Amino acid sequence: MNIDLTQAALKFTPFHNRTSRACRTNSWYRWSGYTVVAEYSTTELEYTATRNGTSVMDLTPMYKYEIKGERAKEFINYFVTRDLSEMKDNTVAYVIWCNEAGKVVDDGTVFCLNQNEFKICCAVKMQTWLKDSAEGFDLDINDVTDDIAALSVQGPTSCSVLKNYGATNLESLKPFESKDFTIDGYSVLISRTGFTGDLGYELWTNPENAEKMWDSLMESGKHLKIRPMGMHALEMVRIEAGFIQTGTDFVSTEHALRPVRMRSPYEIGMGWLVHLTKKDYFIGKRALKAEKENGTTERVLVGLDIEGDKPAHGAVIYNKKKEDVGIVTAALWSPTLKRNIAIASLMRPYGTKIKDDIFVEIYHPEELEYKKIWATCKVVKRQFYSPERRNMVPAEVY
Amino acid sequence: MTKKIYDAIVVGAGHNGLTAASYMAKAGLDVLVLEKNDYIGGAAVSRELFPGWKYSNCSYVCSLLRPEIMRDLELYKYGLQIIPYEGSATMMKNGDYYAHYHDHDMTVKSISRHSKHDAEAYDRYSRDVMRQCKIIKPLLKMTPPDLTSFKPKDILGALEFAKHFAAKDELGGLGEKEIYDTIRFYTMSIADYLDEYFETDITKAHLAGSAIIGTALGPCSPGSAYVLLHHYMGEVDGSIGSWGYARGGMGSITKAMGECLKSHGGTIQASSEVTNVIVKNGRAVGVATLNGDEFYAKKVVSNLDVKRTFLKITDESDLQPDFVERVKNFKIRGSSGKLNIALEGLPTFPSIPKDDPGGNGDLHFTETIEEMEGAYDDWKRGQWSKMPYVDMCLPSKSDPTMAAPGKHFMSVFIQYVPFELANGGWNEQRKQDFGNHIINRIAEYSPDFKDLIAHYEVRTPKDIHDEVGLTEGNIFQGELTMDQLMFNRPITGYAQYRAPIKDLYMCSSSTHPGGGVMGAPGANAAREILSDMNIKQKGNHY
Amino acid sequence: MSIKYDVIIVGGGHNALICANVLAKKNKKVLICEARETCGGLLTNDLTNFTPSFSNKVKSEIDNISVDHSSVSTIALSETGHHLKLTGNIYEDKKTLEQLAPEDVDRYFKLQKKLSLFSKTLGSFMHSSPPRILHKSFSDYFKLFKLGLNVRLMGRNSFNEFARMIGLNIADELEDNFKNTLLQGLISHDAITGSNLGPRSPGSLINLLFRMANHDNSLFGGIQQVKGGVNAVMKSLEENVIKRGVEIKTSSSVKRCIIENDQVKGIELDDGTSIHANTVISSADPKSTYLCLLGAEHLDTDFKRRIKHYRAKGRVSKLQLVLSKIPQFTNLESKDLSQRLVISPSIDYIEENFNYSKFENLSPEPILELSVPSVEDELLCHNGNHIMNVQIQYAPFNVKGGWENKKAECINNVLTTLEKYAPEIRSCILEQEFISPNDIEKNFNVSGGHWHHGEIQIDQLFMLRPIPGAAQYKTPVSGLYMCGAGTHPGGGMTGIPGKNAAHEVLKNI
Repeated sequence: MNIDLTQAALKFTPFHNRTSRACRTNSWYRWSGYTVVAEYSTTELEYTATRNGTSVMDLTPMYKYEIKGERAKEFINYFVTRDLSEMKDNTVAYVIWCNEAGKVVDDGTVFCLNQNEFKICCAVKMQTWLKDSAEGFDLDINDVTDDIAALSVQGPTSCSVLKNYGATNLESLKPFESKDFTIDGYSVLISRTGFTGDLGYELWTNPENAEKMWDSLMESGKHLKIRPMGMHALEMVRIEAGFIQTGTDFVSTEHALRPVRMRSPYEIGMGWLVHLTKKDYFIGKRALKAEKENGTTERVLVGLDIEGDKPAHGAVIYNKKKEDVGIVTAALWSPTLKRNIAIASLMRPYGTKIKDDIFVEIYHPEELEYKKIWATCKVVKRQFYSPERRNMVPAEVY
Repeated sequence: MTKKIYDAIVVGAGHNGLTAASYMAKAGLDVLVLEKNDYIGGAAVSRELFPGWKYSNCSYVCSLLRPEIMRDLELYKYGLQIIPYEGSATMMKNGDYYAHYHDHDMTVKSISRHSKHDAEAYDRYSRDVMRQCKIIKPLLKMTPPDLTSFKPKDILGALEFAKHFAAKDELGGLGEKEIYDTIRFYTMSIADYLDEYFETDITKAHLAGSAIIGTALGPCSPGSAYVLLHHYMGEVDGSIGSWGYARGGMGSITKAMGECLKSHGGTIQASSEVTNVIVKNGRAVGVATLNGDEFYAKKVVSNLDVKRTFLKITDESDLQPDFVERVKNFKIRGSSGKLNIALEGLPTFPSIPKDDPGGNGDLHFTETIEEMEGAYDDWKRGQWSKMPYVDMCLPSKSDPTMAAPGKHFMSVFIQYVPFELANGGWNEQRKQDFGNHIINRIAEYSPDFKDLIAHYEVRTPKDIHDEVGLTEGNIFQGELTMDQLMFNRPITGYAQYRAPIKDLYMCSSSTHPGGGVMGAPGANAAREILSDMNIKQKGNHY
Repeated sequence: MSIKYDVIIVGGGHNALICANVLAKKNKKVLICEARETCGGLLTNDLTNFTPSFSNKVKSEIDNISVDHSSVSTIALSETGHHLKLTGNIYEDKKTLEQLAPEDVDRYFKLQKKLSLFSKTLGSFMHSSPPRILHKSFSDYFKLFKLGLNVRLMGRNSFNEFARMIGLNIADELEDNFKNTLLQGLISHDAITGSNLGPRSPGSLINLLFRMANHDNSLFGGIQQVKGGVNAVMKSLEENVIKRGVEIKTSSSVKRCIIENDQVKGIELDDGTSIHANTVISSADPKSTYLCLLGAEHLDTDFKRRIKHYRAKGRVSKLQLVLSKIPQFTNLESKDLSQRLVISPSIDYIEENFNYSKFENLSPEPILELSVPSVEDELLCHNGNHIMNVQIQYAPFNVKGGWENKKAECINNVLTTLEKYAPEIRSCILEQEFISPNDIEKNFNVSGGHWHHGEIQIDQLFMLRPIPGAAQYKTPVSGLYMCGAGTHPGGGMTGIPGKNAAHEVLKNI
């Protein structure tokens, strides 16, 4: 293969030599300006690896930013809606951040390396937003996306794989904790985090160690049902886990062309991350407080349990009177749950007070013809699947 | 024998005149179009000025032409095909280049070679400009309301204009903040606007080009951000802001319109320069031409710019002095020139890698806003810019019909060139000096360029003024500044395509929404004329 | 801790004093904290030669100011010696123009009439806080409606003309009307003074209308000289508020506002003292108010972006010359030297100057406005010597090369220009003091050193001043208000921002 990379539209990740070799379908996906694998073998097998053994996914395209300075912690606490004033070294927090109107810019994870140094990992480009937000804080903010090779290692046997790989005593690491390891002479940051709803870890290292790391991991997992996973399977596991995705379940304020498409945290089920009682001001606090006090929240993001087995991709949701009350943002026939599930954005009071008597209109392709299905559905908790092993300490070891 | 009375006569066979004529003919009117030149098309022409090469020697690229018009007039039937640009690039003195591409990821990757910050800010910038495009798009097909009128029709029109801003469907309901952003966007300079997003000179210079093309504003002049929007609000197949070539040169647009007109029974008569509008009892009843012919019609529509319409072909005695003064004060400033070049082969531009799609679109070499503003300062002093902003393209790289295989046609648009030079008027010598100046500038970036020239044509604003008939050679038939836009265009109080003389109408780019081979003024004018005649148009989208 | 004051005003410029005066008349207990040794802010004899008089609407709400004043005419200097003197008095001006610009006489008065109608209309919007758009409040809609109606009531033709003029540049309007280049240069000068616009920049006309609205809606009338200079006005204002029980702490620089739970609780001085009050009004410029007094950690990102992009870079410098004798100006009597002398001979002259300034360069031949006020007012002499105040446009903030290196060059350019009109000027100079926009920033705590605390351009006016969403004298933090020139209707010695802000505060406490 001879591609002139300067002329290519997309960048390769540091794992490309390995992922492209493992990718038997030649099925690719565009992710934030990078080429990543959509499907290595078949999506079902990759999905099962996460629920049965261990899946390995190339996470490099996630944007990562480094925030350094004396007021770094104060800034982070001002930047996100969650109260992080007590955040400890070597921990990770799931957060969202808003604009002045109290609409969500993005969600992501904050890594506290020490009290003066943090990293933020998220799905949308955030450098200018971070820099403009940090005006007046005198901080050092850098885009380190290209400086970090990241892998997600997820599944019931993932702890064992990583122990074989060299991460001693990893089983004692609690969810949302991170730790530095030196393996084969290079350093790896391992955090117990993930986007699959299962036991799992994320690994960060310098790109020059990427291929070595990939090879060692595959070797360490060879008896533990390890398998690389592509983007299609990730979409399945994240829906089961009820995780939301920027650009799918809501539009980032930085990308929304139409102001009405912007969503407040309360409208995407992230109200639990908004700490209005936080002592200091945070971006969007005034607007969010007003929204809460005036009850002006218009929408809600819920889980749906839909009758039948035809996934409701992009379906419109109706009430009894056949009025349009919302839309399905992500849908899946769950292989593990054997349920027809979906994440949906509904106009209140549908989804909050009214949880039954709503319908989805599914157009299901059947041999070149679409069959229109009118299915009843029930509003349920968005977290459809969360096995006990996910949060167990010490983690399960095989 | 009494003379034939047409339903409508259109003066000038430019794209707006032909659009208006076609819509009227389609609605069943008997239409005559009179053109002074021996070819039709006005500023949208393809001419074989040198055997074997087609020259889009006036306008050269297409984006603003409203898709609704192409649809209503079925221009595809008459051979119109638009070819999208692959990219664009600015060449740098240090041998590097800055490029944008049809593919968004590729553009971002390319910008980040110069600045990561700018690459990221480009997303937000695109979103904000796109939002402005969405706001303005529906306004293009509206007749601006007369804000001073208390007639129900005008009040409804004004409400329609206002309602549009709050409409939820197209724009998703603008909030307070977005409305303020809009006000700011319309009044700011492009330099200030770009400063809010970008940090590097090259990014700003590359983007600012669109804000000065064709205008007598510099990048630092307030109001130049709007001009950028004017160049962005076009579309090629729904891809807003993209530009493309008309296959066969810009003349294929007017050729297709002409064919459409003829197929609906309209007549075009070339080499017939209209010298005056015949007014009887306060009504326009026809026109007289240079060779003494007179043509009569129920409606007379002028596709000439507002100055020519009222100061040249209308008797001043038929107009109020106050109106005449306003027309005189209407600003049409020549600020652009052109070089049209037939090339024996493809010139190389060493700073752009071979096969880079960025090289297949518009090429520039202005690296800073300061340089651009300096070019403007030269113009203000009555000189052509020493370091002009240049918009070069080689349509023959994408369009096989422009020149024989391996040969190329190059269109070079130059900003700024004054209509009148400070040290006396244009003459053949000065024109050649100007042409050589530009050729030398290009040769600095392309070593083999000069050797490949088979033939070239230099066009100063004066030439465009004399030959095409655009006053002062202004490509928009009137400056695009706040005082001459929307309900101020062309003359406040006369923005509804009707002249102060009954049965005389305007359909040129001097009217809303302005120039740029858009066709919208023509289509809007036709709609007003037909509505005055109580004729319903059927099945049109405009 | 007991709260002693109802309101603390940060800064002691004229808007602050007027705001305090209005509040004190309503029995509010007010404290003014001024960082400098004296009140008055940018209005000091060092910076300001002439003053407009306060409008009746402002006067009626404050205590009487007792100063002597005389009106001043404007003289456009010409190298040929055919100076053009305009007073604002129709008969005198007509006579002058008939002599110097006979072709332009009728058009001059026609233009003056038109502009004055528009400036009056603009002026009528100045005295209340601007409405917000789409804010779902009846009073906001009503204000917008009234505004539209006011404009419409000028009549169809004027309405149309007004709509056209809002975005117009001054050069076009003048070139359409006048033949005399000196007259064109003079009017353009007044349209661009204090701004970052050239006469050919769209929007420069509205700048002129704003100036006229503050000068009796007249092109050259309404300019005054006060006995003792502008300092005398400030002193009177100060005495008035002190009589009303307002406390003024000078040499007290405010470090920051104390904020608890998004509510102002008072201020902290540089020396660490805290003073409590539930209402704080800042007369500082927007950038200083938001980024220094309030602090970035209390603001949303979008808000900070807007503040950051607020354009407030000053382009006017000041040269004060102490003279050994009254200099001789060609063809000018020495008593005329106390009038407003303008060196701005043509539109092209200004535009050429603007070309230099756009990218922070100095012009070799700057635009000058000057006066020797001490000719008429002995109070303004300096140790018995005369003083000449020269205002230099455009002398940009952060000039390329830095002011510390460019000062001498700039002074030399000014003197060389002056020599063309007063050949012996250099020999009269005893002392000279130069104040650049950077000095103004440093000495007067105005970020950017801008006269008007920010550009007067359409995107920074009315409901967009200083920034959209916070244009009603309020800030996002409750209890914190603004009353400086950075708020509607903007700079100039009008006192209107101060007065309007006081009303906004009174509505809420």
